[in-house]
Amino acid sequence: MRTLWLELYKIRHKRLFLMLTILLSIELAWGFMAVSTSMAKNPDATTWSAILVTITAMNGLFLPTGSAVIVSRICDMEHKGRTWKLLLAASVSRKAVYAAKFVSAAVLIGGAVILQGLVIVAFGIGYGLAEPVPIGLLLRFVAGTTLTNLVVIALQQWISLAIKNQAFSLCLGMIGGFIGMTASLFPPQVGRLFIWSYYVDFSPVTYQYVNETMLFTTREIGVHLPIIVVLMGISFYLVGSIHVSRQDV
Amino acid sequence: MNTVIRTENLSKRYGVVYSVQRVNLAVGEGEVYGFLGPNGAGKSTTLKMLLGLVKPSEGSVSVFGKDFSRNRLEILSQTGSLIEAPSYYGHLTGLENMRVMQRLRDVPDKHVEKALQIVRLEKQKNKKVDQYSLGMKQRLGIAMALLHFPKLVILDEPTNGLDPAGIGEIRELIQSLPHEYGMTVLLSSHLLSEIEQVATSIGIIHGGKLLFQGSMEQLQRNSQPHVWMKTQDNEKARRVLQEMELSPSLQDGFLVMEGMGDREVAQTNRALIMAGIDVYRIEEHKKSLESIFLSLTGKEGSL
Amino acid sequence: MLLRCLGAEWVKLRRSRIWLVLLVLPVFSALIGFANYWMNQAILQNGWYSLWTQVSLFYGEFFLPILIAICCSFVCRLEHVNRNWNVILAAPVSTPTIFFAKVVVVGVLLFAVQLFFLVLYICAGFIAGLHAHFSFPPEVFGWIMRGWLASLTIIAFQLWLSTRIQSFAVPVGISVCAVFVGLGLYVSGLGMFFPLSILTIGMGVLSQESLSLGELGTFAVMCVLFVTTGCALGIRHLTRAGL
Repeated sequence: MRTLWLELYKIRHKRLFLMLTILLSIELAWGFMAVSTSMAKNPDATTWSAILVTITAMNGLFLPTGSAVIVSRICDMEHKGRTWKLLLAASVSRKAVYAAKFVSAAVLIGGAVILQGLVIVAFGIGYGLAEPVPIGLLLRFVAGTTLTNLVVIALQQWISLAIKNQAFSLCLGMIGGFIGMTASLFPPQVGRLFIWSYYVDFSPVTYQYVNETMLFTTREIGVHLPIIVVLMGISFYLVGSIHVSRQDV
Repeated sequence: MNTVIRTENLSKRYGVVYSVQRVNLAVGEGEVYGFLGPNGAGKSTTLKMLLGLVKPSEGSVSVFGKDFSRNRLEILSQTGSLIEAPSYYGHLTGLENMRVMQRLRDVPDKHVEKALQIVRLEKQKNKKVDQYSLGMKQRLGIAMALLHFPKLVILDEPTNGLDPAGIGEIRELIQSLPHEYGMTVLLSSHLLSEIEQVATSIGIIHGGKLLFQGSMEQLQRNSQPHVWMKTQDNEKARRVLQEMELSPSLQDGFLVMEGMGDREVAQTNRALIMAGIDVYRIEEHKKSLESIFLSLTGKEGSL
Repeated sequence: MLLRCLGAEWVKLRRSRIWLVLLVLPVFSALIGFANYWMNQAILQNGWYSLWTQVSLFYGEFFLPILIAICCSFVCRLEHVNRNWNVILAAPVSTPTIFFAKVVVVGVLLFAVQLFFLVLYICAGFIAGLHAHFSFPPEVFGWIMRGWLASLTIIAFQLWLSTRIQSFAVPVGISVCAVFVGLGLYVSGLGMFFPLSILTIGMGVLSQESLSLGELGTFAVMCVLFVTTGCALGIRHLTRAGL
């Protein structure tokens, strides 16, 4: 708890949440623009599902990128200020610091995702969608996105802390964002190998092209995929935590 | 003696606070000039202004008799510096760090070897600087400053992080620079003991203001010795002395007077005896540099 | 003087393993593009041109700008840590030269990346068996060169950002946002007025129509204009800042 408080204290003045908000605002602006044009062209598709599908695809790009940036900033301050020595000398265990960093990043980005959900609701109501707000779908959307994101954070944090040169972790984040964006193009078996494609895989809504028009369907995810993802997250986290703890300061 | 550095009313203001205020430095050629002041007194800011790293809010800097702002490159090419903590590229070796500076300054290879040798880093030159100790990084910084054998070397706290043996070594090195290589050295420190052993001239800065500047002897002369007298009856003696237009103060059972020459001491002694007061002791107390420094900067200014 | 600075920059890049990132991102984008082409051969029937649309879309729109941002952040981070600006700015080289040296170094690296990408593209084409049916489009060289010129404008701006912002990641994040702004401007026809959309235009990413003479002129003028502006901002920051 103490280390977590410390971690949140350390990221003051870094304006991380502001950055995240700006990044997601651009995403939402872009996404809503695309949705409105497609809705205008195709009145049948003026549904919540259309919005969710678009935003999910955009999340595939923006959240890995944003996570890479946020995590890199949280971790890089220790490299830059050479504060590991300080922390260890203050008898804070590295595993605790690792956990605290993970939680801080998760809270930040989780908060942003929830905010995103609220903005989606606001947009939908503002646009005058006929259907009632699909709370269930939205909750599943937020849950799926957050779960995937936790795993991405675990992975990013490992790389950001293990390799001082932040170019690598950011590079990974970009590749991730890219896979996330193009996830629906991969055959499912290939896509499932990459954590970033689960943003889309966990989407409660999916679509198919039927005679050149998009047909949205809701779907159940089941329990297998989330379990796999949770396992992935735990393994990334543990491997990272152990690896980083064993490194020389 | 030629003046190498001269500043006129050099000031730096951040917002409304002056971190350096109307400083007039004068550093003569071939000197080791000690720039002394407690932490946060404005030493580093002043030195950075001398190098053009910080733009002065007011005032001017001239180096080698030339205005700095108009002859920046020419002046910098004859100046070596180590400012604040040592700068280095951690992923490169010591030698490669020297090579970076060598390229920037366009000096021959033998200078690199020589500079590394001067600071005794030849053996560790192929190690990554990330793995250096603080002292070794400091030496590397000094080597970078000396690389082109400049006419003027500016060293900001060069003995930070060095062990006693290292401090002694660097001290000797600094002392040898003027006569061996004809360099002028401007050296800053917050430790009086460090400066007093190497500096020929000294400037004391506190709260952004230059409180004293001159040779070491001047500094000592500046504070005249005090005469401490112990008598049979200090109160009575004091009245006698006040009639002689002296103003002694009472301290720890002694009468303390300033500005007393040999004759004045003899006169007071005679006067007291004539007044029937026995004189037990007459002592002369010279202020140590330490207390001079403290009295200039105020006791709260930590050393 | 510039040569001296370049020499110094070059030594600094040693052992930095930045080349790994420089290689990975183009390979990755070419792979994805190629895979996409391979799977959709039925629709993409315009040979080399179709392949170019696939590989360059990912590379030019997304990875190249990010790569530039990462490179610029990297060369500036070297100076941000350990107060290295102190040493560099106290060296007898003019401040503009220091900035130009960084522009040139990143520019050269990116030129190498462009050539590497060209090689990847050609390899991909051969693997897909395009050489048997189609003649190689000469425009590709123009796209690569113009892409590089447009990269220079991004480099100038990213270096300015990276000298200003101490953090490694923030300029990269800004660049990601800029990618989308650029795409938006391109779509709305204002592409010539933003470095990232100039890249889209120059590399022929979204449209393979060759540029008219007038467009080429505008392209060149805008490139020069942006590079000058970016450099001016960066140099102004370096000369002003009390580092």
